[in-house]
Amino acid sequence: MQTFALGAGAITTLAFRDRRPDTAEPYEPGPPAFPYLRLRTGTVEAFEADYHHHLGQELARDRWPEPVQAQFLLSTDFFRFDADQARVISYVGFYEPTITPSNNPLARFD
Amino acid sequence: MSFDTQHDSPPPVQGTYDLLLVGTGFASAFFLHRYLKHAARGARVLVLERGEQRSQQWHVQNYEALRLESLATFVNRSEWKPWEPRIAFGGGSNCWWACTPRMLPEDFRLRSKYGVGRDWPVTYDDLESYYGDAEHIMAVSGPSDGSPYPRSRPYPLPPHRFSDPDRFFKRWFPDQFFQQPTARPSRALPSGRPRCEANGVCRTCPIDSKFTIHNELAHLFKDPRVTLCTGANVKRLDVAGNTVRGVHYTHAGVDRIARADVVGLGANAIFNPALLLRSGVADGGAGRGLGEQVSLHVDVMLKGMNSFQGSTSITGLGYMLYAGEHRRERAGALMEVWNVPVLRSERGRWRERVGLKFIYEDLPQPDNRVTVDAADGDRPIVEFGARSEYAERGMAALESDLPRVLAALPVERYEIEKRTIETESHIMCTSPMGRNPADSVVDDGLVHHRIRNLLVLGSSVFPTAAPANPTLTITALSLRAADKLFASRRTG
Repeated sequence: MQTFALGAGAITTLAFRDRRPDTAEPYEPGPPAFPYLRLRTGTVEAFEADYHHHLGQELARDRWPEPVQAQFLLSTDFFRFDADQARVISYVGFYEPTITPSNNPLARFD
Repeated sequence: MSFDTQHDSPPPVQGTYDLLLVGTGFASAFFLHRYLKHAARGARVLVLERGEQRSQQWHVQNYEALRLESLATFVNRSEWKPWEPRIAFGGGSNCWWACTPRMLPEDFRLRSKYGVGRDWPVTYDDLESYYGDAEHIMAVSGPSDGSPYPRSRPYPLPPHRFSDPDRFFKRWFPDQFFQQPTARPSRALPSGRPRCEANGVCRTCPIDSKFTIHNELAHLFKDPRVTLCTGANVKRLDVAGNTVRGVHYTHAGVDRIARADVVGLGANAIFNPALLLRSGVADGGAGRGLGEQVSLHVDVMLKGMNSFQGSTSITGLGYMLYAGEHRRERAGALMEVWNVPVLRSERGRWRERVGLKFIYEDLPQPDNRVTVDAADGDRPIVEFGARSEYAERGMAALESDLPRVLAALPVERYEIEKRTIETESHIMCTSPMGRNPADSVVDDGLVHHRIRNLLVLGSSVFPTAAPANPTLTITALSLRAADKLFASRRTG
């Protein structure tokens, strides 16, 4: 009984540890549209720079339209890890299929 | 802008051809595909294409430029209603979304079954084997274990993966919901075309996955029997009595004439009737009845269900509003389930959303038409006053129809967009097929009723615009027309 309790406690601890945010890795908060996200440093800047480079438009960080918000999320690895909000999210590449095709993180082919 | 073009081809040699085709889109290319299987080794075919032959990458990079250039080839007097031809080698294959459902059997007999529109002079059974042939040429991916229409053979490729909303629709409507048949392949092909990667920008596929005339049928135009002349603008037919002797066209600024025993027009439903009218061939109401389907988009916010897990841009087709007694009074509709990611911004609910498109049939109206102006020998005039009341009633009923359809999903809320989608990029019904020469231009073999060596190909021959996307039917009709042409020769 005691062993089982200790075992159960160990399992619980491990499970809890898996759900805790990865605080060891430095991160910055998400943009105003997603303040709860944890981003690798420079993620938002990289997206904004690519947006300007490819589409020739500047973004006002506090006023991203909904399509741009979606484009940002799709440009990161957020959905590749089941939209885990505890992870530190990285920029993958500017999500615009005519420019960077074969990059849809939501589609499945199995 | 750099163009990697094929140089303007030299003008064809003199003499009479066995076949002269105008255009290189779906209609002409599939006709040529079957024609060459029958034709003798020494047959001579001339193909005149107004546009240029460009690479797929060029089309990706220059989509908008070509679109605007194509719009400038006609005068649209009803600018609220756009039309989207593509003047280029491959025609509409350069901008289509590769949706390839068949028409339903009842679509061919709208008048006799529901008392509206008109019957086609062909039946679904007449076309069934040709549908299968076209599906194999295009390598269509589709469901072979259930279908809204009878099939004699399976699809060449397995269907695409459903999204979760699709699965729920299928569970709720098992006999009215299916994977969309599509020429966006679910597997990589031996020809080198990669599998569709659900990029969702299908109008010009960035990885050249969807079927186009360029990526799968360009070889036809290199057949030793075929001479392809691009940059050739056909002006009018050379008609003498009840025979067409050839066509007048310009090439590199020079007026020319080409002669042929048989002429086939595959120049889209604006230019096909324009050529007829400019040539004094107005029989059967050529030019009247211009139309296409009309669509409404519905944005659905889901409750606890994620979307966008499908494997292509449009994953499901719903027939819940298509066939049935309602077609006596109002248009039927085909429902598409879209898998292109359009996310929500609420935390944790990003994927709880799905877009539906309802494509309504429309009945051709005689005042919607293509005409020509003697003062402008180059640009046809397009006029479109209004859609049919039949289509309007169909769309008006969507609000009351939707709860029944959406009962399949956990819906938080939905919104029917107030404005219809501007165009389906289809152009149809201006040279209809029929049995009566008084109100139709061609017979069931797409041969002109009066000028028996002239064929009109493409969706201009459709007597009605069913909800189903027209391309597969265009190609099936072309394959059949080529077979019938040779059959009629054998019987004299």
